[in-house]
Amino acid sequence: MKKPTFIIFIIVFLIVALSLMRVVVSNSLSITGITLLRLENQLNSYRIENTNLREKLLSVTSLSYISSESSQLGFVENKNSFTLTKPLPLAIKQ
Amino acid sequence: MIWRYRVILLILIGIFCLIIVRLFYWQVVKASELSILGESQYGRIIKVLPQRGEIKTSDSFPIVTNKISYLVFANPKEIKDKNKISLLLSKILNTKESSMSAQLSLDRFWVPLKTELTTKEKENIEKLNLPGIGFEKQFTRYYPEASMAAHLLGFVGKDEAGRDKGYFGIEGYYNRLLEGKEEIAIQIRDALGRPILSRTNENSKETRGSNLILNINRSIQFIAEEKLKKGIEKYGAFGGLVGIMDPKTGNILALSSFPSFSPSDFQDYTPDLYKNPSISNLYEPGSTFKPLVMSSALDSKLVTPQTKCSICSGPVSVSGFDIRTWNNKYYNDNNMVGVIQHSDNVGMVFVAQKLGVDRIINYLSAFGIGEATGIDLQGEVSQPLVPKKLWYPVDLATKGFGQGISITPIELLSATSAIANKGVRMEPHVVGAVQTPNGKISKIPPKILGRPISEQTAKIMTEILVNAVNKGEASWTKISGYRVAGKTGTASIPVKGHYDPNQTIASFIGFAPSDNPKFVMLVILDRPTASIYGAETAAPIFFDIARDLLLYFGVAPSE
Repeated sequence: MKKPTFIIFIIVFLIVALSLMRVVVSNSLSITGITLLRLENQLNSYRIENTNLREKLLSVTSLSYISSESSQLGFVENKNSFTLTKPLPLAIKQ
Repeated sequence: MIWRYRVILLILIGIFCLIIVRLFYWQVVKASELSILGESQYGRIIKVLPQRGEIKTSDSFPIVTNKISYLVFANPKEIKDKNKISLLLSKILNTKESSMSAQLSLDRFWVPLKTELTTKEKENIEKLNLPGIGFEKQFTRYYPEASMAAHLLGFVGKDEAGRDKGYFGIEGYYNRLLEGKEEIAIQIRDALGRPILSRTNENSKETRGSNLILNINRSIQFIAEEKLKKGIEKYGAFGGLVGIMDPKTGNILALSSFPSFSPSDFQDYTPDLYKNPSISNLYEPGSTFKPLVMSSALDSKLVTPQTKCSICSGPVSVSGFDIRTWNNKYYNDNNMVGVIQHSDNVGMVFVAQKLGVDRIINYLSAFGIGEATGIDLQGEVSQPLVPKKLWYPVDLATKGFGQGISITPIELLSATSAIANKGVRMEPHVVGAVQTPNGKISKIPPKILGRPISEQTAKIMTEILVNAVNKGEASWTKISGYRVAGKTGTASIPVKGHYDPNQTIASFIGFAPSDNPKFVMLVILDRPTASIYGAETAAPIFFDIARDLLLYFGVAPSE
């Protein structure tokens, strides 16, 4: 009876290849937590930065700030208004 | 032989049934309990604090939002050199070293040291690398417009359990919508405690509260506050308020009052300042009440604008009380237009007596006098009208010119808006729409409260009020080119059973442009010292604001 060398070789190769693959997958899975933690920390820091920047933006777009800044720059309230009105009709139809 | 097979088969079936029953017990009966046990082995329960909803003005500007702050805490058991650390922290946190040292000496694992730290303050402490010191992220209210509309907004404090809770104004009234839900998140971790997956995100939409979009117009609110502040200073008043409403929808465009407080530092102010005087203070409206009584008489056809007042030639005596005009001037054969123009108290006694108790009660009730307007703010009060049997002749006479009756400013604003809105009274409303965390916007539609007077009466009353502005005591300050309807008011303050002639509540109520009103406005000054009269104090503030509002709305002069 001839030994099935080829089949044995294939089986051994598959066992070795799958074991190696498992090692690689396990390794990558085991460091996912660290990557996830890093990403979450990064996300949180961006969120905090965004909130802080939004706070600054709202502060400088507030009417009280704009009003005080404009008065410092010399802007004054316009007391006279100018409007364009329709001319009065020459004769009103009864 | 066959019976042996059968016994074995029965035993196997019995064992199989037992396994199924046991599986049912673990999988169904004990499922939730085991699930929690399992989760506790691979996960950590995290409490996700809700983010309170924002409050936006009609231009979508967040007048109240959230900012990130930090709570600094300590684990005293991890701190060895407590004296050194308490000295360092007290300097950075600007607190007493003794109190910091006392906190760090406590035999606990967690001691809060200070809340509301800014990111910069937190970073400064972090740089020191102090052992046993940690931080907890928090959301606190931030007011980009500082104390603008403080009475209207209310503030956020803590409840008995230490959770955030809204008090007064919008924060109080809409607390349940704004507060959001506290959520539990499970952080799944590996064997070394490193996170693998997070089931719920920190900014999960479900935890956030709804946003409120107000009818308040930020520009109008700003104009009203600035002008009122200047007016109070100029006329030496103890305080004042301005309420501006769209008569067609009942939308409150601005509501401002002074003295006020800062919502972010509410604890630094006395609690009596938290109340919004526009909805929580009762006062005698004085002559600003006259348009309501006059329009009631006009609507019931008891008087016309041309009706002559037969008792206006001098003071009138009612039940032994002499009733005089405010300036002791009397106009013989004064008609109803003149009664309002001269703010004639005797003329209003004539009108009230024509109306009688039954009709005046019915009309005032239809105007909403004596009941809460239903405005969506926490703290509204009202004083019911006196029962019919307690209306003595002198009460009928004095109530005709706004004395002996207590109402809130919002009641008067809402009632007068009916005259401006063709006789239809709308419910005053501050919030225009609610935005859910998913972005869905639900608008709050305007609500009609009733029709106290006919459209025709409203039109006649408007013309009488336009005449009062053009020819009355406040004509010196009116806006030229525009038709404005309005009425001054100078109400004496009842003190210990009598009226103090030197202390008044000066007011002015009106709307513009009279033919198609964009706003109804009430200005009240509390005890002005420069002059006691509404025509000399509240009226100029009214017209100063009205001038800006007409420009803002783009209304061209009509005269």
